[in-house]
Amino acid sequence: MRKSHHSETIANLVHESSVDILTKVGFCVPVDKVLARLASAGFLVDLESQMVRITPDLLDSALKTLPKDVKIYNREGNSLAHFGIDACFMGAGTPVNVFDLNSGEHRSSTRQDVCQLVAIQDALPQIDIVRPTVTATDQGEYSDLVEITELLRNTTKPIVHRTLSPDRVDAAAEMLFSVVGGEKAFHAKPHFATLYCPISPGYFTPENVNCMLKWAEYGVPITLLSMAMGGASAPVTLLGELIVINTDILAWIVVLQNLYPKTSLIYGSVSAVLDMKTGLLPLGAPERGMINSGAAIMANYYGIHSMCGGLSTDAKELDAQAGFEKTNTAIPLLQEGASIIYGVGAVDAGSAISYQQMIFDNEIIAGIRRMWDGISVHDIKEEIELIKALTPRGNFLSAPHTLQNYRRHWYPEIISRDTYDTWKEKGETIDQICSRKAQEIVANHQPPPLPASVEAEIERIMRRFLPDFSYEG
Amino acid sequence: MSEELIGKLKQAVIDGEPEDAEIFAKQALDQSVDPLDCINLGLTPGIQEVGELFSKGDYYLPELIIGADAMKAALDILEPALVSGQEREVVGRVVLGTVAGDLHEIGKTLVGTMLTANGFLVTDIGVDQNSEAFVAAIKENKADIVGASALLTTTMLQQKKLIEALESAGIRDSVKVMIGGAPVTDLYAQEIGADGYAEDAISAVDIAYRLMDAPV
Repeated sequence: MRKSHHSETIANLVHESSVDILTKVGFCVPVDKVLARLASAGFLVDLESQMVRITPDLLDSALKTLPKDVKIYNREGNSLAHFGIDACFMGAGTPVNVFDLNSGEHRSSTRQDVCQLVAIQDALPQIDIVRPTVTATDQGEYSDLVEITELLRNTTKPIVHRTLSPDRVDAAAEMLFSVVGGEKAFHAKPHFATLYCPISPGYFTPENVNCMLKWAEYGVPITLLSMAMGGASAPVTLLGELIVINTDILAWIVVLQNLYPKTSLIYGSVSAVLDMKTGLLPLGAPERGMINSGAAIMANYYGIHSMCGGLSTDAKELDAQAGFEKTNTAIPLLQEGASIIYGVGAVDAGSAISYQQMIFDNEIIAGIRRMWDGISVHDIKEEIELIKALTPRGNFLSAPHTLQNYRRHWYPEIISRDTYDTWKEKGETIDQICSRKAQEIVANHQPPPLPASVEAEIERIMRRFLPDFSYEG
Repeated sequence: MSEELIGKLKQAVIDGEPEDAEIFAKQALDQSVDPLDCINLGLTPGIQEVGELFSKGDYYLPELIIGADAMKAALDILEPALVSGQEREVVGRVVLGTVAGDLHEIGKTLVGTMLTANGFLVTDIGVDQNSEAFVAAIKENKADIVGASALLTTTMLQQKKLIEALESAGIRDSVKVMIGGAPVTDLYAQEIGADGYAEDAISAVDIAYRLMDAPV
């Protein structure tokens, strides 16, 4: 992957700083049972303060067992071909608000939204990895499990989600394994990764600690996803913030590799910088892309995949601001070789999902991907011959070479290149086109169904928690 | 002499110098300057000016926060020296905390600073506080307003539980309830029967003024 000329300097500086912090101050693990395990594994544990420090030996063994070149698969066992080569794009999530597909009303998101938004991500060709993108707020305490069932039923693409507490990791894992034919088949070709966030600096809640360890027991890939806020939960400078991000993630790379060697880990960051005028966390800011490109730098340094928050906006509608911010928070991540760009569909600083934006994000990604090809270097014999033959004043339009090659260039599906008169005659705004396309997908897209026996198995598992669970919701 | 010290206290708040504020407060007491004058003529106009500079866009949050810290440093010295019956004027008394199961601190603390800078007396009870702790703090501080923060979709439900606890404790009518936090919406506030919802720390001040029936 491409790297900026600074990336090596940054990576060395940040890694050394993190090691300094983790060996001298450490991080908090607020679960006594886990502290005991860490102490016997050789970590330096202070039971009273619940602070844990690492040693150089633990770090070395962690970096040795940390799996590199991990692949991810879809439900049907095919690997995501360009994962780890070019950036993959993933649905955002998971806020509790959505802009209604038909009325545009800003309202609480529901299970039906999860179902529809997952199906749309399944249908859109530029979206590689699917998230529920919103919370099923109408499903109460076990919304996380209901969301997983909707992921399993409405897409075959790789999926990413989490449980809200450790008591349901068993059920979630059983469901995930059942759709691919068991735990062994899952380990051979994992189609799911989970994610957990620290409270920066240096803290994971007891629930998140226990969830992560439980998933690690099942050998499920885990994303350590920093949500640092520069100027609030981390230093205000980007380099200072990156040290906090890296320290929080490196701490748990060392923990998880020492307790569960060879667990696949993804280096995640959905960090941003606090707006000091309002105290809000703008996600469309240039600094959003900049700080999370730092996570890509560090992930590449450790040789693992990254999941980076970008393709973000603070806009509330599909407007100029959305186009500007979405694009500009994605570009720095591509520049530093991010594996997964995390943000499809999100608007309003990640606090809501817009169906229209999700459709338009597919368009933005397609355009960015084309731009990212750059000028390809290839055998130019044919071009030279052609130029010589057609000089002066020749017409390339009728040359076979044109016919054979023009489709390399990008042709948008939504953006208008029409003349003024045609555009006026069509009379459809981008927002209206996106609404129409989303409605068409919801009405027509049919993801391949799960076998009836698997559906019955999922239903049986879900009824342990929700006796009335059904697919009709 | 007293005028000069009161002026210095005011300037220490405007400049955001907590250490200076503390020194001047001590000097004022040493020189028998009335602590209430120090507060009402020095610190309060100082923090008001900080607030105005913030509203104008000259100051950003870091200047506002350090100004409030300077005020607090001086108050910690001056308030214990007030003679009985003397009380500094406040717009209202606020008890503030993050609900049970939620350890997020920054947003709630920022709301506290904004309210302090705008004349409220804020008691911050910290994070992961259950309804009983809120109720006890409201009673102890004779709070006019309680502010409950929740940053997680899972802990939002605790805000509803707090309102139920206020009802069972028989103090629901004597205290206004403000809620906030990233997943919280105005609609949710209405659904659970809160009196006010602010989407950020700045609008929290307007809501608090409104709940106190004070002019904004």
